[in-house]
Amino acid sequence: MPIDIPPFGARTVIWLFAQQHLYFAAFVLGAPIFIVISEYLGLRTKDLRYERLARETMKMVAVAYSITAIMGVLFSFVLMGPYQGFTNYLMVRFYPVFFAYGLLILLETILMYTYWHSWDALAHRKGLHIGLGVALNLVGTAMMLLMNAVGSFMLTPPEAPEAATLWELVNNATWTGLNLHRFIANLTFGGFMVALFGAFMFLTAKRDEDRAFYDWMGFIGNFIGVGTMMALPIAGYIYARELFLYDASIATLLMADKLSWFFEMQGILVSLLFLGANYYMWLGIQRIDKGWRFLPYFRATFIVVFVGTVIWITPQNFLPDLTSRAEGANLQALAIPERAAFMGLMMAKGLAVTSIIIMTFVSYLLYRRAINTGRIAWGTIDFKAQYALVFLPAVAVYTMGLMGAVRELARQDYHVYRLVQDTSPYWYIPTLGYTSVVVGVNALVFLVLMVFIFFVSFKLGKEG
Amino acid sequence: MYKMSSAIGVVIFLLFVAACEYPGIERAVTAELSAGPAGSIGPGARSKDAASSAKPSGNQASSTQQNGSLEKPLPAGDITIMEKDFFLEPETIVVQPGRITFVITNAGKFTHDFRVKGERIDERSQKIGIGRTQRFPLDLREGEYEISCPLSNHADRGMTGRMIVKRPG
Repeated sequence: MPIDIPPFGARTVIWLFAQQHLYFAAFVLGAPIFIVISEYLGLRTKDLRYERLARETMKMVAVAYSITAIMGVLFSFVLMGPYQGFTNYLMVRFYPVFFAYGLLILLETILMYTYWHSWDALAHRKGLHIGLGVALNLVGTAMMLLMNAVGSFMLTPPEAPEAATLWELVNNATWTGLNLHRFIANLTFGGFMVALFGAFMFLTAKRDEDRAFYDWMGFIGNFIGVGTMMALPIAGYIYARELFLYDASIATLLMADKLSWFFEMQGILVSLLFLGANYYMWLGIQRIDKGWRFLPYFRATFIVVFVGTVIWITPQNFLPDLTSRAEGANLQALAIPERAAFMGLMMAKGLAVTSIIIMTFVSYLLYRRAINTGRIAWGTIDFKAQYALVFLPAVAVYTMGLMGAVRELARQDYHVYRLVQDTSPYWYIPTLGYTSVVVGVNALVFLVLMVFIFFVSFKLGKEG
Repeated sequence: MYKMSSAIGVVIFLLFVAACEYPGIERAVTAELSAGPAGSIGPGARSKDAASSAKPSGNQASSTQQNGSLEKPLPAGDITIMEKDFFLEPETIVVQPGRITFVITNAGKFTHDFRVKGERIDERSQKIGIGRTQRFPLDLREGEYEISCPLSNHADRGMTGRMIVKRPG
């Protein structure tokens, strides 16, 4: 390795900047989709809250956009030093893609700042302004598709890439699945960030009308986050299916071998997300007139989420990987008792996850029913609900970091799976413990930066 | 307040210390960018490669002794099958028609299952726990059958095999 970066090591530093870039990119790509929808709803319903939500979220996106670009540049620079050969390999094959990506960044920047700064100027030409927002989203999505091509190529390169056309490199076995999964996940991420912002502003607001607005904003952000999150397992399934059809041995690595305990963590994290979402709805329904009537029904939801989680995270055995030998121990002692073995099977886990999703949807239906029969007293929600809106984005950020790491680690000791070996001192799959710490640091750095954005955009130098 | 801030600072510092990975582990590869393993790559070819590469070499001799050959099929009776993560041993069986009892042992670290599929037959055993053995009797006529573990995507991962039922000669 020509250059290393002590004391963290080259891989970890690259990991840090790549993950920060991805976090911010998810926000600046996901949020504008519902910013435009919110602006459109404001125009249609004449409800000024939609306009304010769109505008305040866009203000955050404008600041986050610069940080996204800076993290992207830092990621590229730290990658080029230690991994010169590999960077060159990618550049040779994807040069037109990188060039187009650069041009699209320029176009995206022009559209983004025009959209943001023309908000007042085009107040009476809303159609044109919304059109600018739609164009911004189209360019942003195109950028995501281009970089997904490079990322998915590294894990599932086509047969004989030397002879493949650029389109064959781009349209590799998992490009579609990754595109779908990331598109939905960006919406989820954007929704949760808006919920986080709403909670931050609610907790620091001094006026009742502000509290009422940010209560509503947190509700909308959480609604988008949870609503799109329910579609993520389907997108994840499609992506995993593409991956497994490409190479069944990756399935073994992920589900039965070295990365299987990462999926145990995923089970816990996603269950926490659903638990948090239902807890928020349980608290939220209490600020609706006669909403207390629906509280007993939530018991069933919490029981299903709890039981579903237990089934989801029940492993078939307690060995760290396939090659582990239980020296001196009976394998039976490390396996789940035969009577409970069904809980370790994918069929049971699939049913458990489906039950959790359905019951969360039922909670939402109860919430809707409560709204239809009573008035919501915005701003009077229990403060604990706002902490749930901090908890949910924090867990979502951590989950995204962990599962991103799993996708990268699925390449094992290759930069490009089975084509370009990783010959650096960081060629191995790190332990779950180490990965968890790095993902934790990443999540912490990102959340601190987001709070910094909230603070400089809305609090610094302002009263109340 | 001061104590709490200090505690948070210490936790963050420890997190960053725990994230240090330098200097890694040197790898015994001399080329900067060496090619991957030889052999076919790409969709389709991969799963077969992966499945076969996962199997330990050296079990061939013991397998051939108990799975018969096209000229000398095994007599009907007990057929021993080992289910491992994720392949069957043996993966090809030649046996005479009649009452065949599969004696299936799960020698892997995950629960498995056993399926026999052919013309007019598609039978599954009970699920077989880790380290357990199960007897699974079937009356089989002449023909070719697919044997596999039908649990989850175990068959895709390589837990498939072939069974030829024929008379000797």
